[in-house]
Amino acid sequence: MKMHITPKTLTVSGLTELNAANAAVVRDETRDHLEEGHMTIEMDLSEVTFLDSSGLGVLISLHKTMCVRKGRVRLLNPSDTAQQILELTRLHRLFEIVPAQ
Amino acid sequence: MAPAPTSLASRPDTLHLALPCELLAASDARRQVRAFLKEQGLATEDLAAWELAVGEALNNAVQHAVGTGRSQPVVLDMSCTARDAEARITDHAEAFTWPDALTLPPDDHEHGRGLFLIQAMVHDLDYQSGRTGNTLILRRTHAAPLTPTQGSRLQQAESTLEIMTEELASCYETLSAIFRFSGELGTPESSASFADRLLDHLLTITDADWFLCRLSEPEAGQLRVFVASGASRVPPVIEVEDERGPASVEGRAAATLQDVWLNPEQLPAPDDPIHGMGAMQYGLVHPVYHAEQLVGVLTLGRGTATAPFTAAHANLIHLFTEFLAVHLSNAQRQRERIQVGKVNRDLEIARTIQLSLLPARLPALPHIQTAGHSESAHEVGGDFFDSIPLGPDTFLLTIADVMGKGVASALVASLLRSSVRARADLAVDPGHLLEDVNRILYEDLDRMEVFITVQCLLVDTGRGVLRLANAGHCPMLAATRAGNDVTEVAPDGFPLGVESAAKFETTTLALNTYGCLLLYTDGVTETRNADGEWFGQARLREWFGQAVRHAPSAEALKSQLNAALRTFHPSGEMHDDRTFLVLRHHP
Repeated sequence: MKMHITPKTLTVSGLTELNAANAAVVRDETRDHLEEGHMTIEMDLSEVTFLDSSGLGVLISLHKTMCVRKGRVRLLNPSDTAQQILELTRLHRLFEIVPAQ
Repeated sequence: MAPAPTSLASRPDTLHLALPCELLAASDARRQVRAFLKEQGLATEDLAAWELAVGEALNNAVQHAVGTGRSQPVVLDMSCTARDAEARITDHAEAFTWPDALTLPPDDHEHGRGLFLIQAMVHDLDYQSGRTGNTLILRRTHAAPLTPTQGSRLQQAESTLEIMTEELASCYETLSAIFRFSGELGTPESSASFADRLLDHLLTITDADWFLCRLSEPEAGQLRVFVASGASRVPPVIEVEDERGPASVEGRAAATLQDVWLNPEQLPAPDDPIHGMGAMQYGLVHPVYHAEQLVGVLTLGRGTATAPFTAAHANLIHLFTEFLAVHLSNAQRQRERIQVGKVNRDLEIARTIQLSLLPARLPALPHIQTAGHSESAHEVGGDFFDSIPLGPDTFLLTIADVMGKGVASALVASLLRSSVRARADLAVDPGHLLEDVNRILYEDLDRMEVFITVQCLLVDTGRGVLRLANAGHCPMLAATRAGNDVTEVAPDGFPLGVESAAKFETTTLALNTYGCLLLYTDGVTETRNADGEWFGQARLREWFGQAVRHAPSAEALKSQLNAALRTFHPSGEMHDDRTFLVLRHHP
């Protein structure tokens, strides 16, 4: 899991799985790197091969955190697997989904 | 016979895992499931669905375990067929009732989507709660066909299925060939050409290059070539074995009644006669037997092939040769039946001829009784007697003996009978009659080297006269009315067919002198007893003299003579033809 910090944005990349086993870790790590000025968390889901309900829970949790500061969560280039699950659970409307440029 | 391959297609492939009640172990198990299903050849779409469903299920099992359940393993059993897959997850969570309708929670809820996702990924779901644990059963039909990886067990199962399908197809082929060939059973085609076509067909469907079929000759201990394909340079006859045992692969198969398989490592010896059939890389020497009797040996060879005959081919070869053996055995039985049938037909014809030789009625004039007996040792012979009416009080009796037996003699007898009847106008002088008949028949009789003894007796009750002519025949026995003295009456004359212009004497007798006359053939006098002694002329004369003293009717005399002969020759053994005529005169 890699963190990239700019003044306004925290980008999390290198995630291959978002599941029950690592959900808490991903959530806590991300929160730890969140700085006061950050208005956007970008989750790079391009390499995610597995995303389960717990993983979705993490994304929602981060979304709630950003909502408090009137910020947002963007999902970058979700893999097919991730995209399918987001659509299946209708959560693709909740986040801003950014396809590959 | 080579054993059939074991069937794997009916047993789906399985995975069994028992994992500690921890999330990390659950993730690990989930990955193993994906790897297992990938090996089975599931498409990505199906793999993703299963990974999610199993993942959620295992997480639930771990996260909801309570009390001692936490120290017990979660068990996963997965099975996969070509059509679908099934997972069974057993946990020790608190008892749980699966909700009937599953809906998604509000978007901002972090939890509550697990069951929804499981249900969305599978086609069939069952959850059973029990005292010791719960089992979740998930089933999903593959959305895409499987593409098993190289060497996977499912692929092996598929190739086994292919082999079995091939075997089944070849069985159908065999069956259809057998139906086709059996339709030709009973056609006049020879066994050899039938076998040739059958084996030629077998060559094609077993991918063989040549065949050689030998038939067994058990008395000689040999195998003789019956049919062979192509230009064969094999000895027509080979021994099954010599003092040291079988000298050839064909001999070995015949002696042991077992198949001999030939391959590049086990080829026949260089001096084996089978090499005359041509190049052979692989071969099968199969003993052909029916009802546990060796019928022959069939050899099939592949000259240029790189593989031996398969079990399916061996099956075909066995089936075809069994069929051939049955056909050959049937053909043999049929030949025998036809032979017997022919003989029976011959006998039928002979019987008809025999019946036609004898007169429908014997004369019964006032004061005259006649009785006759004619019996052939075989179905038919050359003995006969005839009676021709010549007027209201006159008739001609004929008795004859054609040399030989069987149908030929009967035919000559028939010829004589017709000739005598044709010249009945001469009957008033039987000697002249015989002269004429001899003249007519001489050429034929001479050519056939057959001669006939005949006696013709004219009985004229009007004039009270007996006229007798004789062509080499046994003398007539005549018993006088007065003292029952018996005299032998035999006018001169050779048998018919000896001399072309032969002359025959006619003897005239007064009818009133005689009370009983006996005409007979030498079958009567040559009847033998157990010691080989003949009944003989003298004994017959004596018997006749005794018998007529009691003035029996002609019929009674006939019965008595038969009884006397039967007593003399009681055994059921074949005797000679026996013919005689009795004439009783009582004014």
